Amino acid sequence: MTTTQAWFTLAITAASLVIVGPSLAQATVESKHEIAWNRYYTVEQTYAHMRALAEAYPELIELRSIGTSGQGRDLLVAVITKPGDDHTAKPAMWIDGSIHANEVQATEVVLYSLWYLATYYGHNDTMTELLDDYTFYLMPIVSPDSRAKWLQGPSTPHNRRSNQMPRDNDRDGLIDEDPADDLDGDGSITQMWKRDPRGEWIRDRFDDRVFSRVPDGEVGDWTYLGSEGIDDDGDGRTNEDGTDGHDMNRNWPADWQPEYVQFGAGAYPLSAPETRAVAEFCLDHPNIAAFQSYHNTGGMMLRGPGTNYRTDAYPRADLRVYDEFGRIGEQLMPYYRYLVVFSDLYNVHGGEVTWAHEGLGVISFTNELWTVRKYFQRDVMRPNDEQMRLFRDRLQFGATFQPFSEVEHPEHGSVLVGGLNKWSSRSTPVFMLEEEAHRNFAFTMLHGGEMPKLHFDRTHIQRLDDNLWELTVEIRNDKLIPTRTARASTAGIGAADLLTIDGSSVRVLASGKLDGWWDTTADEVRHEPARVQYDEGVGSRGTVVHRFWIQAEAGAELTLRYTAEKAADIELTMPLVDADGSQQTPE
Amino acid sequence: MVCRRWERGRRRSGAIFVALVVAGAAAADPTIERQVIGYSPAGEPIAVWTLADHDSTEHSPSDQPALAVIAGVQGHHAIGVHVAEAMGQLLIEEHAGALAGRTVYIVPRVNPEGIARFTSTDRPRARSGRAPEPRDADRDRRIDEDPPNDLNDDGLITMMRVPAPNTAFRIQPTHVIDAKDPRLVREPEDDESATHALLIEGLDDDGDGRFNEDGWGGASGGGVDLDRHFPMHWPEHTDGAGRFPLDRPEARALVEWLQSRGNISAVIVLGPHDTITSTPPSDRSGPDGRTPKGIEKDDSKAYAAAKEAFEKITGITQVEPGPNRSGSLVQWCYADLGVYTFGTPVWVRPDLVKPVEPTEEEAEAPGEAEAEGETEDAAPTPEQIEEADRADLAERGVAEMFIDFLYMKNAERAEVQAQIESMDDAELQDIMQQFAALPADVQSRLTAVRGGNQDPGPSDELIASLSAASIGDATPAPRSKSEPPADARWLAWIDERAQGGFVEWQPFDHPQLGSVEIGGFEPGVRVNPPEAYRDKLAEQQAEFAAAVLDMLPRVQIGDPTVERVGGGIWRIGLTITNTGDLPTKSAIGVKARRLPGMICVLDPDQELQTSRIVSGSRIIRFDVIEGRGASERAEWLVVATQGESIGLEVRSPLLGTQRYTLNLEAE
Repeated sequence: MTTTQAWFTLAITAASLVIVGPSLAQATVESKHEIAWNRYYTVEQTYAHMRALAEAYPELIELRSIGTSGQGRDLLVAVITKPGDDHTAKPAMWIDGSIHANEVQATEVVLYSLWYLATYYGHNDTMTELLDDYTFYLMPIVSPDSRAKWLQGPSTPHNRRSNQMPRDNDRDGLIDEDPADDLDGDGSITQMWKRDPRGEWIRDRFDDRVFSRVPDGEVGDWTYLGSEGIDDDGDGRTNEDGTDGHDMNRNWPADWQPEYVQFGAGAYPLSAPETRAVAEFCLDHPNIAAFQSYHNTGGMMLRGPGTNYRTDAYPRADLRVYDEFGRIGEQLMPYYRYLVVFSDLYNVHGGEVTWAHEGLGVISFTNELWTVRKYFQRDVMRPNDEQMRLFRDRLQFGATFQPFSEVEHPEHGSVLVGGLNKWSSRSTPVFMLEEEAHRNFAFTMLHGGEMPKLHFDRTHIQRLDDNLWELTVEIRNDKLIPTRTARASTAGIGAADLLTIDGSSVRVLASGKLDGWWDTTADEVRHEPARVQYDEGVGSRGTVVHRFWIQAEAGAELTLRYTAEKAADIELTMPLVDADGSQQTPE
Repeated sequence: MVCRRWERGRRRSGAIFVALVVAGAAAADPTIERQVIGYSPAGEPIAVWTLADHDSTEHSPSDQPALAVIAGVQGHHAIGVHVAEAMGQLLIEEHAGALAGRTVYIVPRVNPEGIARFTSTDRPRARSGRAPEPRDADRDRRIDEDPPNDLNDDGLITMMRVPAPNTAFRIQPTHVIDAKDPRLVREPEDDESATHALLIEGLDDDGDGRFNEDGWGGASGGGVDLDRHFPMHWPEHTDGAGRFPLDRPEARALVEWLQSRGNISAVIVLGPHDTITSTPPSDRSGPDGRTPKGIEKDDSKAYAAAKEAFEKITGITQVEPGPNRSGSLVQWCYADLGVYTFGTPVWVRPDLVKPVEPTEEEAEAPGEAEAEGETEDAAPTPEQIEEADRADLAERGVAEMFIDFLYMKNAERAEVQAQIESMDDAELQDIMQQFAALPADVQSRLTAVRGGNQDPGPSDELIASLSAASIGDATPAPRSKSEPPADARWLAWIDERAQGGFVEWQPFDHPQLGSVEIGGFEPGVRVNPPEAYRDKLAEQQAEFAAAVLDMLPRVQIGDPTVERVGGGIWRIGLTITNTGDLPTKSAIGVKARRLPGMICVLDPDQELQTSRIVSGSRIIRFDVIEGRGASERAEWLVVATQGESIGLEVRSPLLGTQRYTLNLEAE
């Protein structure tokens, strides 16, 4: 390209920018690594996208392997924050997906979040501010072994929920000896039908993919034999001991209960290498102040508790925070509802979302992606068969259906195998995936964007005597999430916040806590008056007000410092100036 | 059975040895195999010793019922470690018969770093059994900054008695100094006012107004208490419980190893928790309603049997109240692993030990025999017991007619019973209601005597209190509210033994608290007995272990039967019998559904057409076979031609795998 040509091209580009105007600025931001959002990605493809993004945005993204899965796959986490910042020195949000591997779109939603943040940092004020103030830890695949198996092996919409750890599900002393079998070799586990002159089902005349039950007293010509497979171990049961069994979302140390109480609990809390890696990472990063995990299905924002006897772990102050996110979230995500696990769904012992709240003391949601109500986006609670057929044939063009084929079954002879495949429910239809990802991403940014952010607000110095000063300081949290949740402070999770005062020529004689700026009587801190602990932290859009009595010469300099695990530290240096009671506001 | 010893590495045909890794120095005894199952963070090995009498069985040690003996979870429980390490040899030498067809696993030091820390002479000894680990117990962003301090430089962390109230540190009085024995610091009676506070020896090192709140041996901090670190009823977010259950590799290694053994039928834990002399309750569970905090009702028989054997062997009928069991190994082994779990501190306050019928050998033993003799001399008379019991019952609100009923002669009792039977319904109902309101122990006593049995008598505690009272005081008094506190009993024992164990209170000018006194019990003196007692205690515990081994299930497979029903139809059957005292699984084991049970598989290699087994599932599973001769039978109908042969396999963690080939021959 000649210089002239280059100038010409540039001029055209500039002209088009002027023409389209700022309203389309968002759409014109080109990512340094584009990703198509109308498809699902394997473990390798997902990791390749993460690596490509990290290479394209090396100053923003750092990739970390936080461990290895049971089968030796990397557990990859992307750390994203403002270039040059120490990611541990500011509040962080943890976001993960696909702890249940069949809940497949969770991975794409987390990957989308990484892509969006990286692409729009520096181009969009909200994204820029988010990464300037906060860190995000993004883990698209918690259960890579099972994702590999679900995507690449024969599956149903429901299996591969667990990790691939061996388990004797039917307690016959043998492990994983009777899994589902892909008899027709089409990569799907579908349904088996047997021609039977005394059967209870008939096949639809106009659509032979459809079987329906005959009315009582009539005889059909087909019998349903169940899910595709054979009785591998000859115990009279089919597909009763596959690789499923350990449910990693029941493996967390918050109200963990053994298998006989909670199916899938695992051998002990964090017995799975995957959950353990996540838990240790979170415990090693006390700056994590918000938590999100993605599942499917049902269109929900879920919070704990998981059982009725854990309600005490959710004090009212924390519920106010949850409720605000839930209320706005319902508006951001049509057909999504804000629900409580134990009262709206069922009992969960040892869940991840509850551990994040009860164990880490962090505001924590699980989103159940996709809901049948989104098929038609009208007020249809549950589409009927006719409507579903319309959707699958006219919008998905039959992609969720495996054609029937005759297979010779070792126990039943000739059987018909086929029907709805693993994509037929639970997963978001690919043409709707980007929107689902974006709305959920927006919800997490709403949540993450309310992590604590502190500043010194008002200060007041009064000279009581020659060298005796009274200093009142106010620390304000602009955000909805407090520096210490009520759960964290009542259960004693993590370190208390700390307010200190330093100065080589000042001596703090006493200090006390005030209930608010206009409170006149302090509650004295009897020990270490210059090093004050605030276990309740700075509340939701609230303040901490503290008063010091200081011995120092006029003009002596002092430094105030407020430290919280879940907020960036703040510092204020000021001289003691005889202002005769006048108010001083820091610049 | 003749006592047999085997040499390490000796192999017999048909016997499979466990895979062995002999770590470090050679095992203490050539007949005991050592396997390392994990390491502490500092690299100290956790070893399992495996004992099995290879001569008496064709099974490998991992394929027969096993007892696991575990000690050293809390590092300061030195007696447990000692007994566990001595037990292997003692079982071989003294109780070889009990090893027939059984395996014993011994894990003597679960917490090697805690053990080393407690016995270390580099630093003052404090009463803590934790696994050392830097912790910010008071969450003030300073780690282990306020441990206890050895202020009087005697190498021990004892106690400070501090005149209270102390306004500077807001210390409230909680205790009084006993007038009779000024060494004794006790809680005040109703008519006394507290004058002192009792604190662990130390300073407020970090100036936060609190003493010893973050460091080894203090009020909190100083590491992880492995006995609060297991996943059953784990006390989350409490001091010493750890970040999450099994965070420490020692505890995790133990759990993974125990879970990998399907053959463990019972566990003995030598540590601070007692689940033998006081049987855990069968009506308490966690908030989920399913995980027991005590035991399942159907397991109480096994616990009663263990208690009976234990008391007979050791004389220990009561144990001082121990720490909360939440998150303990004992609780996990029972409610999660699902096996009978017998916990004992091994050594208890000597006045709680009833004399064991002395054998010649024991009579010669010094020390304890003496102590026991003392107790025996002071045993209260039946009259004294009756007097104390009546007073006690009256105090507990038991109506006089019930008390009299207990102490009546049989003839009188028959008369009263006749009267009761002639009562009208209203009266009868009234009595029944009163009866129903009585304490459980009184109810069972009344039921016993009404049925013509002997009165089981008052609680052992009451009798023990009489014995103890008579040591110090010639006139035995009925138990009153001011029953001497446990510390007084300990002091009495220490005085009697006259070999130290108590640091006399000495004034000390405390830089922060002013004039205080430092002294009290030496750390661990109430946990670990003097050395002279150890061998005896080890022998007793070995004998108890042998008794438990005798109770374990003993499973036998009868010869498979083949019967021609007619034509080409054959009935194949197999009976499995358990002649041991205990069922093949505890009630909690059945509930926990962790292990497969007994599995009988016809045609294990699937050589036949499935359709030829016409009745009976090819795989038949028996979850549990009750003890004392109970049996289960598996049966199949098979269509086959004469002369054919069919394989049969029985699998069980208690048996390994047994294979048979059955020939279908008509007689």
